[in-house]
Amino acid sequence: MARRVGIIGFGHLGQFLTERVQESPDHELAFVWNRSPEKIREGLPVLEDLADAASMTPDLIVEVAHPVVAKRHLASLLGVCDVMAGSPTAFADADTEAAGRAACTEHGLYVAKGALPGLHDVREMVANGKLHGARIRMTKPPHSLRYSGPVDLDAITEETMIYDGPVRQLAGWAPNNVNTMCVLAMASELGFDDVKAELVVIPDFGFHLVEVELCGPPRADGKQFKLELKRTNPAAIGAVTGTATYQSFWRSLQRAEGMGPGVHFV
Amino acid sequence: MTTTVYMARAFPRGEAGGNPAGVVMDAEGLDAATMQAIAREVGVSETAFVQSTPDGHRVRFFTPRTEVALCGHGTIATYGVLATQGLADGTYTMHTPAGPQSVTVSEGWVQMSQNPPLFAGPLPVDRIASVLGIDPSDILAEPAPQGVSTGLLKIHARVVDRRALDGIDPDWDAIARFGEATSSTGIFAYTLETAEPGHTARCRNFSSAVGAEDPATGTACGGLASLLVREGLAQPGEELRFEQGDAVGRPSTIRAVISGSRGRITGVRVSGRAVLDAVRTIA
Repeated sequence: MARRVGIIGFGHLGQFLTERVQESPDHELAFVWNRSPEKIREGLPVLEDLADAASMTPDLIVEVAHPVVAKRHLASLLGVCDVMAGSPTAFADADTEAAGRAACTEHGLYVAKGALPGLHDVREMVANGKLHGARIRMTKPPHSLRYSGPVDLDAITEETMIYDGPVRQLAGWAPNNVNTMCVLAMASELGFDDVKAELVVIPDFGFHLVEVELCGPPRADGKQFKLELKRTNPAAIGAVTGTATYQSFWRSLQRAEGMGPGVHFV
Repeated sequence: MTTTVYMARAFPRGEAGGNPAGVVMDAEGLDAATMQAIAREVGVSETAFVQSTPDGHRVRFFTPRTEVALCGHGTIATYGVLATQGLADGTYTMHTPAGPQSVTVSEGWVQMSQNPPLFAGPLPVDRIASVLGIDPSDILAEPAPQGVSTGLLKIHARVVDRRALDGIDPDWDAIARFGEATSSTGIFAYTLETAEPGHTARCRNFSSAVGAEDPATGTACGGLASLLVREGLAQPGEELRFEQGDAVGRPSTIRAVISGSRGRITGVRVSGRAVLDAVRTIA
């Protein structure tokens, strides 16, 4: 039976997912909600009020609108069916994360893993109680960032680490760019304050690098298990969210099924 | 209804100086608007509003203008006042909008934990010099001016010497605009040339949140201690002492200890004393 999908948000990603759901034999479009409903393409099933989501009998609701929507509605939507959160940065807000984790007792809360390398290793180490620390460094060209922190990116002329600290604050300054870091903060169960984030910018850099370091507990002899992973992705100049990201999200949506209550990274 | 406000000074050097704060205990029935109105009436840089919790206290801090997530000197003043009233001796969790902080009270000294630091930079020397109204050559490029936060983001700028630091006379409108543009609470200027022997650095805090110079800034000193350790200018485990407030006639000393290592700071603790000056009643 086709899985009925409701989509919250009809921006570029929402439109892309709507088309994929309509084309997929395994999925069926339950509804589309948008803050400005007149922007939803004619002929699509429109949900006027998120409080009425249950009336459209969805099996999965995908939120790709805005972190504020997640903050306000995540808990109540999880009472209806499975929910997939489009922007893990929304969970950098401690109240949103607590509400999401508390509300997934009947249905699953799915988080798209995005560009995080080594998610399987992270979860294995968590399951074995062996994950003691995690650090993630992203290296990008400055023009690919949407950043509201204190550094003037236009003044950067050489390789520069512009952030070194907990993931939580960076999620507030660069919410469009650090979803991968937020997934690590959640999947590692170390949290947004204890996963260390580093953001490096290099002018005219042609790649997006993601480097993850996972540490086991220190042993009595001072030695420590360490796993280092690196993902190198050639970047289109100026692009923030490209087609590859959309495809990745669609594949995550396809995996978001049948895992039961709790938080799942797909 | 009347409100009792304990007026205290945190981080005094000797018996003089320190940073004034108001402390309102039993703030259970007060809403945010009432707290703001009381803070405006009290008129000092921060007034703390304290509620008891099973593991410690919930504390909110208000300047005369707005609420701030965390206030170091307000924390020292709060627990110093609680100690003078026989209401604090031991370790407590202080719940703040910036997260939970551990506070220990022992023999009149108050020690607060702060968040592990974040560093965000660099910021151009010229820009900082322009805001502070000093010559760019009076600001050192190493370590570069940068944001540091252990709960509140402040831009830290190292100036060459005491003469340069003591001579700063900033344009407060420029400080306010700078704070807004950098998502920070202003500039914390410091030099490693101190007046008091045994001190680590001499500091001045130009607060965009308050629109004035603070005599003693606990959160900024926690940040500066972190920065000095990260840059190899101080060691983890060493008690660092910061002198501040001389420029505004309120000499203060703030102590800080960093734990962890230069590459991975795991703990920031700031400590000091508070003295109770008066008890006010506000109608």
